[in-house]
Amino acid sequence: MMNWIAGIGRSTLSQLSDLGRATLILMQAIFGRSNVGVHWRLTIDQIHVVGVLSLSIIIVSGLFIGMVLGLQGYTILTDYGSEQALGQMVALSLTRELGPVVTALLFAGRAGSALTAEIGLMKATEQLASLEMIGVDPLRRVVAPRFWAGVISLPILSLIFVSVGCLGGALVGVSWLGVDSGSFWSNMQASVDFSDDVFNGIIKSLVFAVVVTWIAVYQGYDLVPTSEGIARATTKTVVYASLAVLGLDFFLTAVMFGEI
Amino acid sequence: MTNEAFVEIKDVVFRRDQRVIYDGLTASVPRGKITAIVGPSGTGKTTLLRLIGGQLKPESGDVRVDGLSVQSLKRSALFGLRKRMGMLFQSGALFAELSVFENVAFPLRVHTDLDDDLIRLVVLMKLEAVGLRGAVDLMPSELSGGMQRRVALARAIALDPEMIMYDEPFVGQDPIGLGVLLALVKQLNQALGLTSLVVSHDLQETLSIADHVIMIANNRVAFQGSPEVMQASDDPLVHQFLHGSPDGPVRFHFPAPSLEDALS
Repeated sequence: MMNWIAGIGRSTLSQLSDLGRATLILMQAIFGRSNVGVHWRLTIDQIHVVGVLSLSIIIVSGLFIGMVLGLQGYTILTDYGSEQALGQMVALSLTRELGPVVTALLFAGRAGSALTAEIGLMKATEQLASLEMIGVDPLRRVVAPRFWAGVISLPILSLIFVSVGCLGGALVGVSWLGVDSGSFWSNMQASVDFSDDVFNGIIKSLVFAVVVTWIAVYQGYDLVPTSEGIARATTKTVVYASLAVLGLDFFLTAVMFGEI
Repeated sequence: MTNEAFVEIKDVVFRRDQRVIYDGLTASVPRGKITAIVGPSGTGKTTLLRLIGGQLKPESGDVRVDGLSVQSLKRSALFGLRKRMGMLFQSGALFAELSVFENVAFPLRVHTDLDDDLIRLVVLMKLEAVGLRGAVDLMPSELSGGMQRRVALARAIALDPEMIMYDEPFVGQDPIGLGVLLALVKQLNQALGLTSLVVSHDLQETLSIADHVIMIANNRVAFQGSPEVMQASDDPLVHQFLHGSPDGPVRFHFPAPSLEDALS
């Protein structure tokens, strides 16, 4: 019994110290003097790597999820004779929930794991230590540009996901199942509110971006520099980031839409 | 005294988790010479380099580089001091996404305002010094291990440091590569007036170029002096190490309860 309690205490302590270390790493990376010119260029490079290169998976997934929504929504709505509300249903599900959440999950799998593995490998091959010895802080040089790139890319990817999803919904609903094109789009336009739906979606996406990228760079920076350590850290990134996104999504939804 | 010794280490205690690495280590590295750090594996020779570079901090004791106490320096002062040291890592640690040219140019771009023409000139000179000017446009992945180490060496001397630390520079080299690196270490030391610190397992090779030897064993300095004195030493520990005897003061067996107890 005592052992059990001691075990809980130990693991709580170690998780708290992990959180503390992660916070310190993030703070050191994003605050403090840095060479803005150079770091801006590095950030742009990283936006290409984590953002632009994630476009294909985001667009394809967005299209299919929009199409599935169109199909499922149509079969349900048509029972009540209200299939013209399909546009509204597709757009609201995407902007409020599916857009930010699914994009963040895909981003964790596609870009987050790659960030962890890359930083981890730089640690294992002593590149981070070598930066330090050259007199360059790896937190500013390696971690900060990757962090900002993630924070900037994910909300944009999420908007792209939503837009493509709406098109997918229209493709199935309007072109295939024969919902009236005018009522599909005008219903969507009338029901989606910018500040309630789109803006809240962007806020969600921004929160997910910070959390997912933070987890990814921390896991990479703090891993045990062996092949096993890198494998474990990459897995952790995807698992922790996904859980954090889903948990935070419930919390944010409750705060944003709970009173309606 | 500070004029003679570039690095002075006094009564350093260092622990990694529970394991004691150093217990009162005292040593000094003479200026402008090649100092070899030798000792059995796992005695923390690389740790010593990291203490000198300020990447690790001792629990107690003092590490001074050119009179500056490394462990109490502020972050910015420490990074300033590191510009005066070069370090060659075991793996070379070249930046994989940059070409050979950009790797060597990296410290120059970060720490100086030189224009591109001048950077090119310096980079080519440094690569010439390690004999790899022809490889300037290659990527690190296209080089052999020994060549990577030589490029890393060019990068380490890019800012004309006062001291250079080599972490196992000879590991995994064929006899020719080893000879090239040995000659380079010696040449650079003489031509640039560097203080060199070489951590190595390759005892005979390292001793052949070293002016000064620090041997670490059992958490402290077991021997300090010139290679000739070391060869002549009748200390059993030094003797065992020099001659590679399997048993002696450094035990073959990892500490464990007696065999009878473990098997019963």
